[in-house]
Amino acid sequence: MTNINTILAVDCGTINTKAALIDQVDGVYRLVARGAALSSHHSPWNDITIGITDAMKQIEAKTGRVLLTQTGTPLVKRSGDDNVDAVIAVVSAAEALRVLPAGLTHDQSLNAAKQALATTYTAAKYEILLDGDGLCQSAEDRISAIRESEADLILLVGGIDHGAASPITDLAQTIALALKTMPAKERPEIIYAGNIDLRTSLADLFGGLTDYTPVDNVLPQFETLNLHHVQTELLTLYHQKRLKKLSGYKTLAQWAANHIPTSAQSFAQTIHYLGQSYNINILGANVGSASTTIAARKQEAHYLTIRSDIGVGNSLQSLLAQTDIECFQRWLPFEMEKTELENFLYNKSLFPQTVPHTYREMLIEAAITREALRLTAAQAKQSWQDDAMTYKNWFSWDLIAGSGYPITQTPFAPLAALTMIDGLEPIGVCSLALDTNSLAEMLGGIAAIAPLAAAQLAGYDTLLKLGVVVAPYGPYRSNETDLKVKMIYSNDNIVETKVPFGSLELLPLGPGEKATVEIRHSGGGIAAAVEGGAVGVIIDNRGRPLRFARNEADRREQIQEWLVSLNLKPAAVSPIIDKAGYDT
Amino acid sequence: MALSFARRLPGVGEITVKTGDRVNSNDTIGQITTPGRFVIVDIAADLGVQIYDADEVLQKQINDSVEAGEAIAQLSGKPAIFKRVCKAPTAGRIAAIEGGRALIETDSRIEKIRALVSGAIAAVDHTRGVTIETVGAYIEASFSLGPDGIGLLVSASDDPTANMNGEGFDVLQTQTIFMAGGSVDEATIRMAEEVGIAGVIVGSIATNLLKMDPPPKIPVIATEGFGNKPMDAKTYQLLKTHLNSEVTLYTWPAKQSGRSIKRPAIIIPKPPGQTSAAEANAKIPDGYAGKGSWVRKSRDLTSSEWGQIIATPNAPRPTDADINYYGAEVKFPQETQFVPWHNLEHLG
Repeated sequence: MTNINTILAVDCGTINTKAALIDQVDGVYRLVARGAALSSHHSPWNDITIGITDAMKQIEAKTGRVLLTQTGTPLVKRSGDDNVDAVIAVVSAAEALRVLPAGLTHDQSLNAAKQALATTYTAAKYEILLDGDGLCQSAEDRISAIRESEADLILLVGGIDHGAASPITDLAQTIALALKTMPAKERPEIIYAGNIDLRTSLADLFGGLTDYTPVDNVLPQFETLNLHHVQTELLTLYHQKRLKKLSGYKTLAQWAANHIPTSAQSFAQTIHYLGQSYNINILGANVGSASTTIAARKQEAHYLTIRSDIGVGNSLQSLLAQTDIECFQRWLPFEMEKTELENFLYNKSLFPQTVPHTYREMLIEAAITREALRLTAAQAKQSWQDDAMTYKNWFSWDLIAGSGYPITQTPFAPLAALTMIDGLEPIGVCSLALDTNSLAEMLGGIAAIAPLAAAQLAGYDTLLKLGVVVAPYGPYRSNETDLKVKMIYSNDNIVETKVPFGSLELLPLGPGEKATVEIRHSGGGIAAAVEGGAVGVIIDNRGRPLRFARNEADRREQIQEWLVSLNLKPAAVSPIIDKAGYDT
Repeated sequence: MALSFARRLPGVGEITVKTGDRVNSNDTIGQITTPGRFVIVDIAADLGVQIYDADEVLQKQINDSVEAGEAIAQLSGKPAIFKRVCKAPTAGRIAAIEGGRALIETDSRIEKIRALVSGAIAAVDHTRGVTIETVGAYIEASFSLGPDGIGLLVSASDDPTANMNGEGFDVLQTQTIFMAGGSVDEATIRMAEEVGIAGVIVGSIATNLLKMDPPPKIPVIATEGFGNKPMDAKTYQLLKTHLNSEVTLYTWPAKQSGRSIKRPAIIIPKPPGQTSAAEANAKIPDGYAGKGSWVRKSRDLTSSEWGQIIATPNAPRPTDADINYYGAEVKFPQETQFVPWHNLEHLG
């Protein structure tokens, strides 16, 4: 596409639809204005484009530009100054694909299948495993599970190429029996990603029953993962069965020239691009109402994990089912009975679109965000195991970028930083950044039509630098040490301090400022050049993994100290917010 | 107002009404066959072979009934001592045959599906469901447990904040739905089940009810959500004015089905012949609220008061958490407050 000067980018989420107007300013693509409105793909609007036009109207009001026709469609490629040259859209509003993974062994084929499923928006109510414990031990149980799962798709895996055939054949015949008991329209499709020798015989078995698609074996040899083909097929199916079924999708597709990637794919592309451009190991975390996405680039390898069952609103009940209430309570600096907290969280799940109104509510939602990050990161750690990524170096990053309103929608940058640190527990020296303009999910889509625009936006407008967290790593010891910290600024000023074990300290270093940090402890020390940001340099001597005081009152005091260390007053203990007391 | 409901069968079945029929809430509109359980019979193993000619050995075909002990397949042997028979371990229906195995469906039952709402059949999908139109009151609730239910509405107490404690439950009160403005606990729900109460409507419920095992056998609807929030005054009054009327409780348990939230509902259809033209033509307003609209805060843990929008600022404003949102100025009984649109429910 040539001559693209003005781009309208939209991101249709489950709760919010965001719009961004991008234009050339002094020859450089820059973000001009943003708008946001409630998403409208569901009742009572049932048209995804209504939320988009509502968001665009905000941009019109802010800029004075006319972006919509009288009938409410974007003014694209018309003569005159007030129009856009292209519309790009990314979407995460659609339901997850319901998938039933079926395989032979948990730690081999099924594990590989689940890694593939975690790269797009999928949900699995059951899984079928030929070898192992669980609900589906007998063939009859498996048949019941297939019937009850209401799955769109069965992902059948198992057997290395040219290996034993009968176990997977046996499983496939059980699946075929189940499908035969179901009305044709309700039968899930089959993607087969197992032993290549069985492709033809399974085509004969399933051919008359349901759509059958063979793809490359996810585990062609032991310990050899091959997920690309199945990931591509899953994404295609997701587009067909979910995205295209969204109310108003047809109109949106016309606006966006029929190219609408998922928000998660676009976000992952942005993270991978940033890692490549700056030659850094980068982790990006996006938390939303219905899903949480973690994408990364490390030593030229790309990674992606999407949890469609973990979110702070629409998937909050699912998150609550996977996490004890104490896990949320432990992050709160104020007293809140478990019952009261449970009521709050479950009510939030009934009204996922609601936003924090008070500082207390904001801290509760930050607790939810932390747990969403921790749970998703736990899966990512398990599945991203290869030459570049070991369990140990999972925690070491050059940059962590936080995205999604649950992380970014806070007036307190230190709280966003702390939420990311607590959720992901980085070690070593790690820069932190925030996607304050909600562009990170859009850039991947923009890059498809205007790579230069995406590159320039990535450099200028996408990430707000928060600063750096320095977290020495080591096993917990009962005689754990204080850190002796020395920061040497570029103007030769020196700040020296001691950070006791279990605490945080914030050293000022503003945007663009540089310094050298030297840290000494009983086990050694590190020195690093750092660059500041909206928060500064956070020295995190709380140890890894984070530990909490056993006693409730002590724990609350511990959290209050952490917040105060970052200049966040524990105002939640008082209903009155002293705005003058905050230093962001 | 005019209401239209899609009443779907829980599976593929048969619809037994036609367009234009009038139905009462307890009338059957269709039926489905609910499978009980499946039993797999390994024909090949029983016959002692690895492969067989289906035409030659099978004594039963798909959809045939079979009795326990009856032959499903038989391999004639020469001499006769080599004859092999595969017998059905249980009575049922041959649901499928594949790869040397037969699947017998057993313990299935015919389930009759009720209309749940009195009204007229407006449309029919012959295997999946009907659309029923009626005129009445519609109250969208927050959360529910248990199955759908129908009954006559009865008040547990004259105190709009009182909890339901079983007072008034007796065996003469079956076919009734009890309402209370406060909450209800598990013991009271179990009491209601035992007595045969048809359902329960309260303001809010405790989260521990989510763990009831077994789950409630009667519908339990919370209009406000979880916690100790009493039923809001408008809902309470609306229900009180319909005491002794037939009420239907639709209990999708406000399940988070991925991206969508389905809300349970309380429907109070008007008996035929008692509907004015205005009522018949009134529709549920669209989703936009504006100046003068009645709204309330969605997740306030303590208050369910309604207020009226007095202004809709063009620019975002900060909340008490210092985050800017678009929203509305709302005049509540105690104060006027700026509330983000995200946090408002609109009274239709």
